[in-house]
Amino acid sequence: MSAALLWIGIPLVAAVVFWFLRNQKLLCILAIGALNLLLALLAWKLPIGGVINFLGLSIELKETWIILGRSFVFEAGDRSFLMLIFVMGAFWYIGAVVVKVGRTFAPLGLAVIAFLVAALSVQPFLYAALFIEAAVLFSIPMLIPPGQVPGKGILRYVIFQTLAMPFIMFAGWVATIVEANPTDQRLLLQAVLFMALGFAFWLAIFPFYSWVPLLTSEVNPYVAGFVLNFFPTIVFLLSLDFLNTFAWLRDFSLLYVALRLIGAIMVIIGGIWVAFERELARMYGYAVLMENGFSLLALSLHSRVGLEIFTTLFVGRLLSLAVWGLALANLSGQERVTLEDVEGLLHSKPVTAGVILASCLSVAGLPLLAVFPMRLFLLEQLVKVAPVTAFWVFIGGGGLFVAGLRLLNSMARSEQDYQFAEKVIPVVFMVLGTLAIIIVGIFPGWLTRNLVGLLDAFERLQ
Amino acid sequence: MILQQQLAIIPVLILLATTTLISVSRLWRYTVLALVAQYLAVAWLVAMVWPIGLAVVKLVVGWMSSAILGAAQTDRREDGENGRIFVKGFLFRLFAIGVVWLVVFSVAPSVSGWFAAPLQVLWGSSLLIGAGILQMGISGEPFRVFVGLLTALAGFEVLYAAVESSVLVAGLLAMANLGLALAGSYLMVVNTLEEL
Repeated sequence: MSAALLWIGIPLVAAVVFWFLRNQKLLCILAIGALNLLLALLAWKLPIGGVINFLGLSIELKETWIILGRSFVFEAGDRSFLMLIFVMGAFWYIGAVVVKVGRTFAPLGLAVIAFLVAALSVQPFLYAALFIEAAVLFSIPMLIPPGQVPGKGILRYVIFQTLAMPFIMFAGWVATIVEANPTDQRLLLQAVLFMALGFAFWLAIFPFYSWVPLLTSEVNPYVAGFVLNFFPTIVFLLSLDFLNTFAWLRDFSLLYVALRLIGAIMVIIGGIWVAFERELARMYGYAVLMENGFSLLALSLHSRVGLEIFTTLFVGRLLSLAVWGLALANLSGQERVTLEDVEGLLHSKPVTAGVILASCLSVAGLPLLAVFPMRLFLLEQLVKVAPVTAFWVFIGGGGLFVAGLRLLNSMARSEQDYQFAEKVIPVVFMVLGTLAIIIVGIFPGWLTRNLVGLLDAFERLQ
Repeated sequence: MILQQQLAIIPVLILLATTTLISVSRLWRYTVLALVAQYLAVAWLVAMVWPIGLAVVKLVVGWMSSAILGAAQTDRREDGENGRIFVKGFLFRLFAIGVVWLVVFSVAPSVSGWFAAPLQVLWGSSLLIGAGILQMGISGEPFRVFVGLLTALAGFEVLYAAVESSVLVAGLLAMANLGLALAGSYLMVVNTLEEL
């Protein structure tokens, strides 16, 4: 049996099976959440490329699965990212138990995860673009369930994600030529340009970011959060894979300067917009953009430390955005909620209000919350190589603090007495999520040590 | 082959007509018909660099995509549904597609340094990409956005065919095209659906 069959084939088959069981929404969500956990556990325990003994049978877990001349390759070093992806999946599915998501969320979400894992493992890499496109197409019914009017956000999401595909395919074609002629500067520039455009579309990098806040304000914030967590994570891992594979890309001196500049622009622009934003779901969208900007800044450090920060940022981001999305979805469903609408929320729904504040401030980098240790470390490293950029990034990051304070001001403004108008089960989930944010913020060490294992898959970046 | 090269200007002329019609027409039937004709030109251009058997795949997939988008248009009325072509914004759209032509025919020769493809292929693909992006930029309606997206993607495919002739890529791109058409038709009717 090949590893690809286990981590791509099984989720795809399960997605098809659960599609026919989608009427049993809760069962589907729980079963798929459990499947994600199981796949994460298998990624942790099974030796890829080795032999496993199961029910008295010796089964070889092959690294490569070849279909029509193209291969899906998982090596021992890939186990960490498989664990990360499936733990993320389990986390989102567990949260979905208390959120009003559509019936298609569970099976289509699993198919999206399977396609994204396929994108990470397929060789040659140009096929990754096609798998990510498939994931984008499968995510559409999940984001816009029947009965809802599609807005500009979903259309722009499809446009930008689809436009990335041809650029990455062209990059794949030029990359093969560059490999043969590494000294040809014109070809090199062409390859980098195609790749940069492809990744810019995928990651909603400035100036292609307008769809993110639009999407979060149009669709269920929890489902939007699922998409906005998985796609950038996979694309960032893919970018590491590209850097690992192509020496000419790693050695392209302008790349790191460009990454730093673009990352800083994303943080600053996101910070400015979020500071003046009145709609909560759009704030969430800008926070995602800022997180992408910080990841780019970590990559721009061009060092082992930078890569370690880059990988550890994934967890703070996952926890904070998932809990924020959960609280927003519980608060509003698919209705648009503005600062005026949440006036007095601390008095009527204190837990939801507190969770929204905590997760917003966590993404902002408030001390003792999940994102803070990695963010502080990132700024410390950045200030050594580019102090001016670090200053502006710090100011830009402050925009989310301002948004948090505006939220607090609005939520606290009420003359009513405190009451508890909340459902118990969602409250339990939100409180557990917030506790996780605090625990990771206070004890980041064990997490950092484990997440650095992600870099094992990229041995040339060591 | 010589005849094929002499006739190669015909698909470019077809594309000039279809992209103009797609850009200015508000009647969805005309748009779908233009899309159908457009895929004929696309297959013709691809046939200049690929075997005809493989190029026909583009034609079949394009026609299927057009049919899927057209089928989702039942009971829809648009600006020009009363039969008028010259509706609000006609001159602006004509001017905009004119600008696209200008840019395409001025830029295409310099693009030949990047892609080793016949000039007609470069004209055709650039025209499709430009018209597609224009269509996506000036319209907020799912039908028109997806027509624009398919048009731009067809342009990229024509260009990509000149540099890569993998059958698997062709097959996967065909699936992507059909998937986009299905996604477009889903978004066109999703507000009328009750359950999925």
